[in-house]
Amino acid sequence: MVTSIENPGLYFDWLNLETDDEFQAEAGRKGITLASINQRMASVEGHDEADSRSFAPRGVTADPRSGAHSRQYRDKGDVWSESAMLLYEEALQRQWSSARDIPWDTIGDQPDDIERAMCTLCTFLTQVEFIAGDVPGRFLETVHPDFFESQLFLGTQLMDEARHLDVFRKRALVNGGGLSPAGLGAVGLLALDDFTEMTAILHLFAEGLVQSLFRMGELIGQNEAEKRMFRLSAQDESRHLAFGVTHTKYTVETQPWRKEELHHYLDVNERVQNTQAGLTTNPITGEALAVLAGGGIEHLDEGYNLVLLMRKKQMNEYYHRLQVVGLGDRLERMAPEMRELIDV
Amino acid sequence: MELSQPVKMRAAARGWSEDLIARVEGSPAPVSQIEALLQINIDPERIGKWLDFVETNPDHPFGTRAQFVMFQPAGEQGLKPTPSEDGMRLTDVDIGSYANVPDVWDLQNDTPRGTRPVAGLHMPAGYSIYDRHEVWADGVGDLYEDAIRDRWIPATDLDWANLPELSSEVERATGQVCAVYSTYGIAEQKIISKWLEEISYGFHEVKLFLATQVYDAGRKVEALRKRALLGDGLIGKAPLGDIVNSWYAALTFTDMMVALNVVYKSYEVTAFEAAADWARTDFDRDLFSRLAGDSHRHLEYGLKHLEWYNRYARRADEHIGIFLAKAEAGLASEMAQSNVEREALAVLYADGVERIELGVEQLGKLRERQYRDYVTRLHQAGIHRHGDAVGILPLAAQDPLLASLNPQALVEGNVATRQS
Repeated sequence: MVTSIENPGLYFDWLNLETDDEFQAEAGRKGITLASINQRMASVEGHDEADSRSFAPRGVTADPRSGAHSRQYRDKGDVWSESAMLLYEEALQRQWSSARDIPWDTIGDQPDDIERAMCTLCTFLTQVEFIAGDVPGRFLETVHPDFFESQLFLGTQLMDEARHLDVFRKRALVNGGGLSPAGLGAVGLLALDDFTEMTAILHLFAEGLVQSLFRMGELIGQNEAEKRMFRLSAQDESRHLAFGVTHTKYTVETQPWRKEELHHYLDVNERVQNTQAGLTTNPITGEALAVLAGGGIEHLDEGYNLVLLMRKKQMNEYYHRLQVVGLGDRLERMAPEMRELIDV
Repeated sequence: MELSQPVKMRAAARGWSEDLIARVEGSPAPVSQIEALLQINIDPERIGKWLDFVETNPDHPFGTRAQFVMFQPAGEQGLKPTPSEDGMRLTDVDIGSYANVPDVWDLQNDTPRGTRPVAGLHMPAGYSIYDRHEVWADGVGDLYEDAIRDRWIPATDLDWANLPELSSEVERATGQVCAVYSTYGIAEQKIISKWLEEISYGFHEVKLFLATQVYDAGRKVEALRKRALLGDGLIGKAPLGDIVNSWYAALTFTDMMVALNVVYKSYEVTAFEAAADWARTDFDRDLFSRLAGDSHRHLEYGLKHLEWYNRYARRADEHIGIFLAKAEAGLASEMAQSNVEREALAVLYADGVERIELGVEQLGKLRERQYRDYVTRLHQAGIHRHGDAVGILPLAAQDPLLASLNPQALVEGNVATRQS
């Protein structure tokens, strides 16, 4: 059927676009996902460089009059992650609420040292968690709309980090302990200047260390509320790490000349980690973790051993991520204090 | 080491026996540790066990070298929040001194509100917004919690399996509306994210709320893209983008918020709510109703922020008129120069192209409602805009295609053909 329209003031140019009769997507167990619609003319496959610099996402015909948006990477290798679609969908499925999903009433009375140690850890996490929102917030803008799935994923990370700030603040305030003095924090991360630098430092490294800690929540959590808080946060962090790993891997594979650049980011960062800025190396959170892991100030010795174990776990998991992304050769140039903790 | 008399008195008040105090004095523990420990209430027997550890391991990293910063007083202690009906909300825990939001935040790093930085560990960052009036809105903490409570998942909460088949023009028009608003969603995510690093940590509720808006905008992009592609495998044409340019043209946060969350969101909320009339399937009505719910929170933040700004910012009365005029100009420019949204809505209202005049008439009613809602919302926020708004906005109610602004189109018309 051919439809003709004549009407003053109507153009209907958009009605003339060709449709794609071969596009097929059916709702499966996971519903309609981004992966299921990533096909045909809307597909990212083979799309290695972005088209126009407007806000029109892949598959949408841009208006040629649209202004250029200059702050966008146009090379897919600069922002892409092969798991962005999957991780985005998973993030939506696994959202949780600090108001309703944490059994706050299970905290109960705790000895002052334990309560203050938990509040200290939570003050630190309140402090740093949304830096992990501000930083991707800066780089979200740089994702070209042709690769919008990476942008959508970063949007879920902002949401997760907001919830983390919120849940750890609530824990510090909910049982009378209150906020502790704030240490150095993580504002240094705001100096990052490139998308892949961000994923290397924020995801592969910093969030990786935090995630290793969260996964030891059974050890440092004293009750179900705290254990669940760490468990759910660890789940979120796993997605952020997976994004960082798959993006860096994609960059290393498609832009192999950037390996040395990545190593250099990590060289600088590892030196910082072994100072007052490190989660387990700075005295404020390090002591708090030891009190929690040991079960009180009189068990600081055992607590210290568990913190060392935690640090060992952090470094081994970090090295594993490096191997996955294609930077396994890093072991030779890693900071000695870190290398000695790695089981080879 | 000899403890001073005041320290001994505090130790006695904590129930430490004279023997324990004497043992402390004979131990390698520094005074700073003892003073820190006296900040909290610990069973004296446990202090004795701790001394066992310190005496046996004086050189242990956590022996005499432990700083116990964690026991120093910082934030208010002893508060016991109770949850509200919706669980433990931010407003439930932010009580006592934690409820005090300062007019000017004076820390340049990520220290949370309600505590202080450890001396010597305050590293300034590049935040630029320290005045509360620049970002604050009454109820912003609750808007954040509402966003989490009201979350939904496009992949599984929408009835994709029963998406009805529509006539080709109507399907195309639905996809076209989706293309327009998903493109705006892309830019919405970007512009808000960009401002997050400007907002200092004292106003964390605002940062948290904005994170939910970034998340919501992403969900809008996702849901609309899926809907468009499921229809006929194509998305459509992007809008011109002058609306988005008005967000980017904003030089202050409030300027941006007025453009995005007041002028544009008012337009978007009314358009999405009107999907009850223009959408042709229950699926689409459900989709746009959910999107309207999200956008309503964004609009509410924008209006409440504008109210706050109007109340507390110096020269607000001069600024607000300019902010609104700039934003309205962006919207008006888009409406005047981009045909894609208005034509698609007209086709949807008419349920096809055959009776397009009826669709155009309904579009006029939508434009009238969008204008009326806009000035009413502003009026309720204490801003009087009726009669001052950029002329194209009310004009669109009488001339929904804005043909009077496009004389060439009015004379020549346009012929479109499509295969189906």
